[in-house]
Amino acid sequence: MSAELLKRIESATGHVGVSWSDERAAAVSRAMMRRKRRREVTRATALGLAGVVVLILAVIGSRQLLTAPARAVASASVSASPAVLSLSEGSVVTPIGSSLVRAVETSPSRVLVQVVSGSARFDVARNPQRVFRVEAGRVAVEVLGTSFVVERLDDERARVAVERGRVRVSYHEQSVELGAGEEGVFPRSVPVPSASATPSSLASATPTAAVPVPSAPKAASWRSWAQEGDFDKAYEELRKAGPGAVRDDPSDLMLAADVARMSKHSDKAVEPLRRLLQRHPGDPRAALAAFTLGRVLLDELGRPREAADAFAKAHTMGGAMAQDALAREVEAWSRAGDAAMARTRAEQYVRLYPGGRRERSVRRYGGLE
Amino acid sequence: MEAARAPLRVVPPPAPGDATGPLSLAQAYRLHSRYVAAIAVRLLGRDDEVDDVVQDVFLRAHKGLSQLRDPQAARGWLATVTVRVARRKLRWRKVGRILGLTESGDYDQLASEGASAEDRALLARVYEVLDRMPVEHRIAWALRHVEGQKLEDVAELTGCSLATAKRRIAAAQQTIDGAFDHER
Repeated sequence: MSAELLKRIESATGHVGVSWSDERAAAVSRAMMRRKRRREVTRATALGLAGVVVLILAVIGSRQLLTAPARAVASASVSASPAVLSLSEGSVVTPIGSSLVRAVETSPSRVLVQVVSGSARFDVARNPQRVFRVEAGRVAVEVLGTSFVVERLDDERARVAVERGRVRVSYHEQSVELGAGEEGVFPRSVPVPSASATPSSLASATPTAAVPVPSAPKAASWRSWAQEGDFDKAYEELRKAGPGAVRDDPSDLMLAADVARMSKHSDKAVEPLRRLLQRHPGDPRAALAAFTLGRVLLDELGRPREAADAFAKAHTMGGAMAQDALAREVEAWSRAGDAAMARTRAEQYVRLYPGGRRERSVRRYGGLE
Repeated sequence: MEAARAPLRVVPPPAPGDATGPLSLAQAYRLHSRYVAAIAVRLLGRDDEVDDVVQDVFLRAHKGLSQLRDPQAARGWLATVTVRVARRKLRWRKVGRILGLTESGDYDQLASEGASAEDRALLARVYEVLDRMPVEHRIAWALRHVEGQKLEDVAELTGCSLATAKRRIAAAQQTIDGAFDHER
């Protein structure tokens, strides 16, 4: 880059600022306080549930929880929030939901934290002088300084997702390194039952592909191949197994739709998505299913009228994608040649989301320009 | 509008018990919300995400803030948290684009009213290029050349070594260089 251009850029960035009026600050403050109250209620509920779980385990004499090593927990300093474990050497462990974690050892040269159940996020302070180790069943993760999430799936398996830095995951006699943005279920060779498959399995497919992955077992089911990110093989297995291979539960239906889409058989994604919407309309994944159905129908199958119906359903279900769903519904009606519907829905978008992030395209497709 | 860019002070997370004058969330917000919003908009390049980021930053930081008595230390801590929140936001933005949930950025309105048409166009183009590069590169470059931070502070704020910070800034610069060269 020429020095002159860089100088021009630096000069221009002096004009980057935010219009932070007192009214805007007050509105943000009110919204923030509402969120804070909601969080406190959620946290109290989660803690209550965790307490109940611990009590039940204590009653049934769970050895694992009741006979913690003498050096456990006492070595961790108490954090400001009882839900968060702030270790004296600067790292922070945040259990997710009602998960249970415990600090087994915090010495200058070594920190050991166990994920007893559920999952936790780890923000590890950079310190090359000590080893930071997380154990989730038989899977262990070692790091120097990073942020990552460990989810204990059962005694044998754990999911590890890295946000920043690098970690080394060890299991049995093997180990593999994961970098920022990568995730995986370990050990790799154990087929993952569909109950653990979530919509995030699609989102994780790309980063996981960067990790050296041993081949899935020869007799693996379509779900195992999908979990390994090999959607072509997963589709082949699914096709061979027939329609009965997909269970009637939201996780399995979403996974089947992902397999179809990712293996470039988008037309086969329609049925499981529709089935999910019909049979499980109250499931938290229903809105995502409706939105995905709309995208498949509009972008890949060229069926804009049906896509508009799917996006309308996604919008009605609300949630984080509602705004995008309405915007894409406008686009779908426009592509279907129904200018009146496109305009009506565009006007609704502008009314509901003034200054929304898709307003420009909504106005274009809705004929409001 | 906060035109002047104050240097960010990097501080470690406050340790429990080292404070004598707790700062409430409301006080911290009153004192520093404009400052956090200014950093956020420069890192993100979009005004419409700033409100969310400001909320996230104060909600994440307020426990630590309550341990601090020095308002300047609070600014440094808030800057660190803002960078983390912005990083997460930018990563989600990338994922959203892949899934078709997020449109490409519209940076025409990024510059303040006093900017010339040429500066507006230049800024919009720079942020479009920043959108295409890895988030870590973008943040390091923006802290260095938009926020005007020292290299050491860029490294601290992004939680990496000085060498890594330099490498990221250089990589980002190369991408921008290539984009502008290509258009000549």
